[in-house]
Amino acid sequence: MADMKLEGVYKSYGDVEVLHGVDIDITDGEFVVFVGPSGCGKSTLLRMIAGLEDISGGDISISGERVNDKPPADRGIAMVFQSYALYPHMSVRKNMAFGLSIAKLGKAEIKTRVDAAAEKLQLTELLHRRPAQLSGGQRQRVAIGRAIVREPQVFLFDEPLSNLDAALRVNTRLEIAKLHQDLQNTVIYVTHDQVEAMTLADKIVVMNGGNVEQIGSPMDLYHRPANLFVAGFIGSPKMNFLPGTVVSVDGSSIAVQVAGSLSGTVTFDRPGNSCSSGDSITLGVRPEHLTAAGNELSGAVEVVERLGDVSYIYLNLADGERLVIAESGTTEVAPGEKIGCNLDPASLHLFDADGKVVN
Amino acid sequence: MPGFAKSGKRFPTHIVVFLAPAVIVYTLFMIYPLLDSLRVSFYTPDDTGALSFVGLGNYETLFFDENWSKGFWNALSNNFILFAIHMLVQNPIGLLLAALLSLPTVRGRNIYRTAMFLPTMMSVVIIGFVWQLILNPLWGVAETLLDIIGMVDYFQPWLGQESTALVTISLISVWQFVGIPMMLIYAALLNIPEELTEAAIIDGANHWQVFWRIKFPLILPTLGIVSILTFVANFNAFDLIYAIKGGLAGPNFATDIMGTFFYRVLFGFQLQMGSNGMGATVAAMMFLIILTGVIIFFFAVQRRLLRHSF
Amino acid sequence: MSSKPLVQKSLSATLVHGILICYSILALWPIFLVLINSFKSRKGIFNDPMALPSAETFSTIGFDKVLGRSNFDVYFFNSITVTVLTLGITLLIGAMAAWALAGYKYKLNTLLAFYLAIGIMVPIRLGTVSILKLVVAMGLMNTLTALVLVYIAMSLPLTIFILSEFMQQIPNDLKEAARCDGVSEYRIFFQIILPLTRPAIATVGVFTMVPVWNDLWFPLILTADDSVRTVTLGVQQFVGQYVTDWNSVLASLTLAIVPVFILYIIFSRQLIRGITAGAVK
Repeated sequence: MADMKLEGVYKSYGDVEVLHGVDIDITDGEFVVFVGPSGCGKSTLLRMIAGLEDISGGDISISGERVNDKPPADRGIAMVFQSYALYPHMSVRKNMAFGLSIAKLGKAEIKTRVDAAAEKLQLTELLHRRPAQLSGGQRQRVAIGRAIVREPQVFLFDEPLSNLDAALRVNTRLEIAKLHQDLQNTVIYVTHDQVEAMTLADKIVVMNGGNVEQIGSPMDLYHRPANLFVAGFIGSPKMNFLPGTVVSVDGSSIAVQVAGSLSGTVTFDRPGNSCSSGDSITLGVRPEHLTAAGNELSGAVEVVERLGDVSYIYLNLADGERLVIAESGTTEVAPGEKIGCNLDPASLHLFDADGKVVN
Repeated sequence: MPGFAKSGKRFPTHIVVFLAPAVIVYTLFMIYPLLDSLRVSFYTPDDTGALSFVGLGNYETLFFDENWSKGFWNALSNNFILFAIHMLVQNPIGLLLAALLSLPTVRGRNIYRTAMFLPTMMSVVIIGFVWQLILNPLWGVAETLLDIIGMVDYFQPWLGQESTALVTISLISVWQFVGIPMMLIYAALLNIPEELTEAAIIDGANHWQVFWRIKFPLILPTLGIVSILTFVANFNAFDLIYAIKGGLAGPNFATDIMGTFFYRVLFGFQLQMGSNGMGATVAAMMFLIILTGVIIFFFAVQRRLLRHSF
Repeated sequence: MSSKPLVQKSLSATLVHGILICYSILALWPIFLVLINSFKSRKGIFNDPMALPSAETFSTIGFDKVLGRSNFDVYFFNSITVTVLTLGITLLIGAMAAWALAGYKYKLNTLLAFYLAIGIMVPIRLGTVSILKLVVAMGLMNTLTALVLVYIAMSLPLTIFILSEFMQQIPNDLKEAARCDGVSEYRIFFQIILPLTRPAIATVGVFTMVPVWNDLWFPLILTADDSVRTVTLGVQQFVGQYVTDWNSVLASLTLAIVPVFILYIIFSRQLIRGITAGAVK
């Protein structure tokens, strides 16, 4: 069983610590996506799992076995690189067979495995070509094929779609998803694109500044972000944030004064344990949970984007805050118009001064 | 704007101005002398000193006249020995040093590079004298060093003996110029993306396999360039042998190569008079050899080596 | 990489550094040996060649003799004159020609580029017979001017090749934007292109300088007087004449080595960057 455990894994270059103790549990067959802004340490973590970077501290184990000191080839992993890293002087067949020939597998065995992988990835016609004679999407498939033939316990993908154009990216994303359903291997996939993370993952690990911010299923992260960073990172367009002040807390409900709100306070039916009145607090609300009706918050429409199925209204509130409202269908609202909207406490998120969610 | 459309068709004076100085100097002092020299190789001065056309006469003399042909074939074969030693010693050492320098974990590579490239920057004449002093039995430095590693019995006046002089001089030249293949190969190795190496390591290759199965095939075009540069430089060499051995390329012409042979034919030596016609003929032969080498290289070898853009 | 146990890793690192250090010593030692012995007395040179000059063996007699018997200052002046003039003119007219090839499209473009590249592979020495005739006919025999002209012709092909490769990477938009502003083609070259080419010019400068400074062939053939000798020829003649005077020989070699050594240390970064940037592809 190819489950994987990361315990207190950290990484430092000299005095600079770039990963501050990461704990992740991955179960067999899971599709795990590491997502975060560039420089958050997600690629470094992947390279440590692959064995391309030293592990400064902590343990990584695969199938219950500690792999810290094992060479990459003995870890039961295969990796697909961002630039594909295909060997330019070898044909597609040789590219896929290289690792197997290093492992001294028999010729017949190698051929069977390569042919099978090529069949699965529709590369059979291209086996004799060199990487330079392939399109971007085909190279991508060869890179995946090279990983498949090794029959690894864990697939590692390092931003594999970032070199493809938008249309191809959606296609390949689907193929990777299908492939995973087909092979049922454990996958660790690194990306900075939250859409890729949301569409592919069973489990998302959101990273920022060398820390894990939250681990959870896509819907978990979307509906129950643990902190401001995750709330802002997941979802497009971004969640709206409005500053507010806690007016009162009584153990079962919490009342908040929202800046720029006309109707005074909003009351939430949650204990709000960590809060006391007078605290400043941040309210988060997703654009799709707002409708352009009501008068709790009001402002002038700045820009309207109509995408057909959905329209985004950019609102300038009286006190200078900005708000995005997503309306399904085509809205009639025009720039310059004064409109208002209401807040629904049930779909609002509250974050305390440290950015932690308030329940 | 009527002037605008016209200016597009105006005679491009500026291009001519940009090109003229370089093209004129280059043509006058490089191309014209090369062509004129080829022309002169078909002429010989008569008793009055005026040139008269002799067709391939000079070439016949060079190949078949005992007085000339012996020297010519000797110089040519020595030149091939010089080239062979460079290919077999200089370029493998250059490859080894470049491979070591390009290892990701090596610290201080700037210092190594700078040190190992230093001799290449020096004048061949200076290097020739330096080694002449070191190998001189009078001074005894080489002997002392061999003594330290317990091989003093092997010491011989290598530069003075007919049997060893050419090899010794070739090795001095290798010592001086190994920096060039080293740097070119090093640059090619640095050009290979790190992800390729990493992919190979994940595929289970060790450093040795990564080098020979991934990196080496990828730098073949550079090795090709290094070979042809070596070829051209060797068949154009002159300074080192002239500095160490003088125009006579002794002992007994054992170190004579095309460059020194050309010099003697052109300016004369001992009882032989210098000759423009024969000098031009030797130059034409050198031209032919270099051209043949370059053509074989570009059309037969380099075209088959795939270049890879990463 | 964490793939090997620590001991094995440090062992192979030691081996790598061992080889590199050995070869570095091999490369530097002969030059070092000449330098230290040039500051020794004759006795010091022969008794213990490998020792540094001590109070007992220190002597500058070699230098005194060299400077007394030959015109080293003149040789230096000549070498510097020839090299600087060659360098300046080659870079200027080479850059102009490179821009004419890289910056404009016209019928003869490719042909001209090929014509100008012939000299990269064909050594100029092979035209010596006719260069000699030409120099005599122009009345330039025994002048530095002849050397400068020949060296410019010798240096142009590689200069033009490298610079035009570099200039091809300058975005076309820049030239077109300037042209839309009504800037003349000459000002585009001198005020926009040339400044942008500076890094490549530095590299090409070193490539040009070294063979010119070190050349023996053309000074040997085109100059006869002591007053127009370059350092390389001067040393060659001097050593030939005083072969048995070890002090003088070592001192003259040192005098020839030191300036190149200093320049190399200053420019090595530029040079090495130039080569590793793929100047010769």
